[in-house]
Parts: sequence; C-alpha cells; structure tokens
Amino acid sequence: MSILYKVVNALCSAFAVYLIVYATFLFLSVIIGASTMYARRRRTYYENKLDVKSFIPISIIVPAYNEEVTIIETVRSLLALDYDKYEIVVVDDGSKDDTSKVLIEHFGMQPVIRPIRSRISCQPVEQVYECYDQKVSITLIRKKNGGKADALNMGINASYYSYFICMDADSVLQYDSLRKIVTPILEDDKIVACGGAVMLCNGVTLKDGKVIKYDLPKNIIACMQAVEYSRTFLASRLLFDRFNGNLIISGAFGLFKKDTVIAAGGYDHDTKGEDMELVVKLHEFCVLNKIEYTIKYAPDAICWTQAPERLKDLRTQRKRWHVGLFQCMYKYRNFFANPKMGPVAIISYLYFLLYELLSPYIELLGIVLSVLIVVLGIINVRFAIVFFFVYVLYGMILSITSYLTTIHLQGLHIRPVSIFKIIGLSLFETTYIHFVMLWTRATALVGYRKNKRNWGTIQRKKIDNS
Amino acid sequence: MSFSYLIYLYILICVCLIAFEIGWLIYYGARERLQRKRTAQYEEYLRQQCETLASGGELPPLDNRQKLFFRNVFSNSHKIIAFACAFQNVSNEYPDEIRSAVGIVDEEALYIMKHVQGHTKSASKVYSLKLYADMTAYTWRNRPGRIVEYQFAFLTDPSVYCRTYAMDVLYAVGTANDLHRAVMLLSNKNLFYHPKVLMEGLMSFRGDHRVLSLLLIRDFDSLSEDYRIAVLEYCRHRAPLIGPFLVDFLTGEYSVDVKCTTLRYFRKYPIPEAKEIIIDFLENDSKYAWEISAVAAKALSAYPEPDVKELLKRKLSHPNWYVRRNSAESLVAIGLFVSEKAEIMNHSDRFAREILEYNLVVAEKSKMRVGADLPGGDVL
Repeated sequence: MSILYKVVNALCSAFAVYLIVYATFLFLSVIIGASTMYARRRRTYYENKLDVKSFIPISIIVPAYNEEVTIIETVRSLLALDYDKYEIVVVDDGSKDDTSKVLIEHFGMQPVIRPIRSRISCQPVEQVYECYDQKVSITLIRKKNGGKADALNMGINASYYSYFICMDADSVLQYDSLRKIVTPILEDDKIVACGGAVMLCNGVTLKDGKVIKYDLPKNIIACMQAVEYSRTFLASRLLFDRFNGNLIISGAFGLFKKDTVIAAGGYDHDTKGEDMELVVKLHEFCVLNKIEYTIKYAPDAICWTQAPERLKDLRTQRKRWHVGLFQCMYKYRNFFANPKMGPVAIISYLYFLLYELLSPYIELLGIVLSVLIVVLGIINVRFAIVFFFVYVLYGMILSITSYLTTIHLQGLHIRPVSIFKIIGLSLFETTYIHFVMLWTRATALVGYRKNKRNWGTIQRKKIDNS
Repeated sequence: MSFSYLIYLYILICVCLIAFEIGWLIYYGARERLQRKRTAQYEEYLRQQCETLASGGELPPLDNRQKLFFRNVFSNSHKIIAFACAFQNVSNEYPDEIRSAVGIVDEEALYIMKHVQGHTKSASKVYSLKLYADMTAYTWRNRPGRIVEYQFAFLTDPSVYCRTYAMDVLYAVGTANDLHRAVMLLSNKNLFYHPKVLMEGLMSFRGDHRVLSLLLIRDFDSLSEDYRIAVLEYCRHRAPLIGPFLVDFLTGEYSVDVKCTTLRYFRKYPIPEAKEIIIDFLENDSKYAWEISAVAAKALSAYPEPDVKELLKRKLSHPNWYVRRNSAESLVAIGLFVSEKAEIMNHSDRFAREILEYNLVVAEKSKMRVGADLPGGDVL
C-alpha cells in the first residue's frame, strides 16, 4: 500500500508540475498576446503607410474537393477583395460532385490548352479553364484526385506570382485580408510565410467580405468553437511569433513565398496535417541551408471559415487534426530538443509534443490520479473540489477574456446578453466538451495505419455572403 | 516537494492570471474612456478654430497657452493619437480650413520636431511624424526650410514606419537633391526599405522627376542592390527619357536582377541603342543567366521588326520553359500574319504550338494586353 501511495504521490507531483508549466505558459501568452494586440490596435488609428498602390502580386490557391455548395461564394468573396494585383487558381481535385460545373457555368469559364510547368510533382491535369471577364483572372484546373496537398502543389505550379495564399474552399476572406497579410512582408524582407487569423462565420452575415452582422452561432457546438479559436490564437500564436517559433499556419489562410516552398519540396502528400508539415519543413529547410528567415503571424488578416455544427463532425475533424499532428511530429522528430534548430525546436516543438500531442494521454492519466488521490486520502475531498473549481474557473476566465478581447480588437460587437451565453458556454466547454475532445484525441490514433489517408466527410452549409 | 504545495502553486498562478485579466480589462476600459474624452476636447478646439476661419475671420498668432497646448500634444503618444483622431474627424467637416487651423509658426514646429526626435519609443516618433506630415504638408510646401533637415534624423530610426513617414515629408516638400541625399543615406546605412515602398514613394514625389532620376542614376553604383532595383523601377514609371543613360547597365558588371529590371525599362521605352544588346541576350543565351534571356524575350515585344520576329519564332523551341513562353507572348504582342500562325501551328514542337495557341486565345479573350506590365522582380 505504501508503495502504491508513493507511486501515486510521485505521479501526482509530476502531473502538478505539468499543470504548473502549462498555466505559466498560458499566463505569459496572454500577457504577450494582449499587449501585442493592444499595440496593433493603437497603430490602426493611423492609416497604414506601407499600404502601397502597386501591391505585391499574389496568387490565391483554392484546393477544392466536393465543394459545390460553397465554392461559388468563396470565389465571389475573393473577387471582392480590396486589393489590386492578384489571381485566383481553383484546383478541383477530382471532385465527384459538380464543383467544376457550377464554377464554369457561373463565371462563364472557357477551356484552354495551357501548359503548366511541374516544378513540384503532382497528379496530371485533366483540363484547364480560364475566365477573363472578372476583376482578376480566374483559373480552374481539373486534375486527377491526389489529396489536398497534391491540389495545392498543382496550384503552386500553375500560379503566376512570387507569393501565394492557400485557403480552404469553404472559407471567405475578409475584404482587407490581403493587404493585412502582406504588410509584414513590406516590413521585413526575410519573411517566407505569414499566417492569418481564422474566425468562425457560423452566425455571421458577410457581404462582399465585410461583416454586416456579427453574432455568436446559434448552434452550441459551433459557439463553443468560436470561443476556443480565440483562445488558441490569442494565447499561443502571438507568443510563438515573438521568437519565430510558429509551427502552424492554418491551412485556411496562409501566405507563402513560392520559391522557398518549391525549394523545400512543396506540400507533403503523406500527411493529413499538410499545413503544419509545410511550416515545419520551411523551418528545417531554412535552418539547414542557413537562410535568414522569419515566419510571421498577422492577427488582423481575417479569414472566416465554417465550424462543424454536429458533434460527430467535430470529432471527425479533431481526430484528423490529431493524426496530422502525430504524423508531423514523428516526421520531424529530429527537432526534439535539438539546439541546432533554434528556439523553434527547444520551445515550440516541446510545447506541441507535451501539450498538444501527448496531452490527451497525460490528462486522462491525471483524471485517474485525481480519483486515486482522493481514495487514498492523499488529499481530502474539500481540497479536491477547490482544486477542480480553480481549474474550471481558470479555463473559463481565459476563454471568456480571450474571446471578448478578440471581438473588441477586431471592432466587432455582440449583444450584452451574449456575454451570459459565453459564460455558460465556457463552463460547458471546460466541464464537458473538453473531456469529450480529450477522449476523441486519445483514441485518434486507433486504427491509424488503416485510416491514415482517410479524411472523413464533414457536412457543409452555404456561407451567407450575399 | 509535497504534492499539496504544488497544487497551491498552481492555484496561485491561476489566481494571478485571473487577477491580471480582470486588472487588464479595467485598465484598458479606463484608458479608452480617457482617450475618448481627450479626442472630444481636441475636436472642440479644432472645430472652434475652423468655424472662425469658415466665417471669414482670422486666427490670431499663437499665444503661449496655445504653444504649450501643441507641445503637450506631441509629448505623449496617446495624446498624439487622440489629436490625430480629432484632426481626422474635423477635417471631414472642414477640409479647407483644418490645415490653416493648425498652422504652426516656424519656431514652434522646429521645437516640436526637436522634441519628437528625443522620444525614446519609435512608436511615438512614428505617430508624431505621421500627424506632422498630415498637418503640415500644406503649410510647408512653399517654404520647406529647416523642417526638411529634421527628417534626416528620422531616416536612420530602426522603425520602418518612422523612416517611411520621414520620406513622406520629403516627397511632399523636399527637392530632388533632398530625396537623392535621403536615398543615398538609407542605402549607405544598409537600412531595410522594401523596394516597392521606396518605388511608390519616389513616384509620389512632387518635384522634378527627371532631375531626381538623373541624380539617382549618376550615383547608381554606390547604391546597394535593393535600392538599385527600386530606383530602376521608379525610372520605369516616371522617367521615360533617360534610356541612353541605362544602356550601360545591360553590358556592365551588374546583377541579374539589375539587368532584368533594365530590360523591363526598355520594354516600356525602347531605344535603338538597346536593341542589339537585347537580341544578343536571347540569341547567345548560353552566355547569360536564363532569367536574362527570358526577360529579353519579353522585352523584344517592343521591337516589332522582322529580324526580331524570326528570332522569337526560333526561340519557341528553346529548352527553357520561360524563354519559350515569353517568346510566344512577344510574338502575339508584335502580331503574326495568318501564314506565320499556320507555319507555327504546323511546327513539330508540341510545346511551341500549345504555348502560342494559348497566348493567342488569351490575347483574344482577355481584357489585358498580352505581355502586360509585370511587377518588378518577376521573371515570368
């Protein structure tokens, strides 16, 4: 019994240290995130003087697979962007629905014989369509199915300009997002990639990329994710940005320097987390080739995306993310505590390993230990309740303040009654959904070998951008 | 360490974070309210001044109280922001009167500039300069005087925004010599200034572009690479008659980027002296970097002569993808007779046929001219 007591005590102490480190990290992140956003907001009082007229030309690559419901609105939102020089390249990755057909009919696209130079290998082209009547040129490439990474590589091959943006086909870029995401490049010529902020469009009315009406989603699952996204962006991305340690640029919205991506090998077909994989690859490529580089984050460049509204779809998405994370962390395991790779390896990689990849298992162990320490009398029940209360309150305060800060700094407004909804949601998330997601992530790798290339399907709805 | 103590430590950190969050919200809210109050006060002051001017009255010279007022505004970045917001709001209502309303006498402006120079935080300098540029461009346009000198101190500030705003003042009120000096200073100090930002700024210069472009070209060899590109791109947009001075950049010991940018200049403003050199770049491409040959192929669209056409037709089968593509674009831009099109369509090289057919389709359907002006730095 005493041996069990000692073992449980030791494990509990280790778990407590784990929680302390995480709490400290979050504390630092919030301080830095809040001060960064505050400084940026001060700067927005002035017109951005680096807002040049002959903009840096950008190719926007939109990989699409079975996106007939959302693709028209996505492309229409891209045409409404407040930017002078860009092109749109939609890559239909062998869709089984009418993705290409709806685009061709809506925009009057014409088939062309256009040679595309394959700088990165990908599945062959079936047909290229172009459209010349719109504000900017739109290219539609139908190709044999090869996955999202393959479609992105095709888009890179076909793109015309030196910088490209990858985005999802079910997302809408805010009208000023291109200007905002390009600004860091005008400030620093070493930037090879820049990520934008992703916000949820469930419950939001957009018109030509401008927010007409903002409200919390009605659906509770989507609503909970709205709060969660704010916490993630404010809490961790801004901190990692300080020391060039960002390991993820969201696949929904990221700007990349084409030549560097091609030199690094493009997107990887063998992973579900191709967005994270590319960023880590860029870190590795630049460090090993002694290229001075920066990977930045532009928190005011907004992309609106749909969140799954069914728990089943959310679980599918989070399982995919966790598998992608595992694949990426395993592929780049040479980063682990490797000082040669810089702070990104020592701090960021370690953080993602302990607090993202392994966290479901560690937290599940923590739950078991929590029960054991009460049973064994290591702590009394009252103390356990206080601890749990502080844990829940901490999570809630963090979620609420992150969300409200993000909303305020983006110049959005919510109804006062929504604040009560957010309080209730954060309680719901911390006490229930968090544990559901914990179990989802913990079991994500079950059947990994069999399902590693299967993305699953998620129900889509038409985005309100009329 | 005892497990309980660790939990207490965790609770302590959580409580600190919660306290910080609440404290931050209270502080931020209070700050915002103070800013709104300041902005309203400044708006009232500016509105009174503008109303006096609008009704035909004159404003008396600045008294000590007003001088102190302006010095106070520029002493703190929050006040500068509040004043800038007030300035913006009132300028929407009184666009003609606003700048006269804040016209500052020489000594006062110089005092403020000296004070701004002393701000330790770049953010303060940045905001001050921006506000000052907005407020005084009108006042100082005809008598720039010493105000221009002060901008050179800001040019070496680490903040790119500070440098940009200082250059904005120079674009508005400086001479060609002032700008030339500024560009040389930035280049010699090796300060990062995005070529596009510099190019755009130089294009907005209100003085004599020919004089400025010649000054910059004269000292071209002293500039660093990025600045050379920016200067050439600027010349391409604002200096159509300096072609003869740029021919040496094609033949001299310059980088690929400089030669490509010069080629783009000659595509826009072709001169006979450059033609043979450009033809040589494409004809004897093995001697040059492929980028130079590719851009030369595009530049030849400005020389619609039979020998150029024949050369471009031959280069439709070039091993380099970009040379072939640009040759096709140039041929379409120059124009092909029906017989020439037929000749190429019967060519044995599949790519030559495809690339030409594609460009013909684009030329027919697109609203853009094929071979349209591309952003600087792109080879394609």
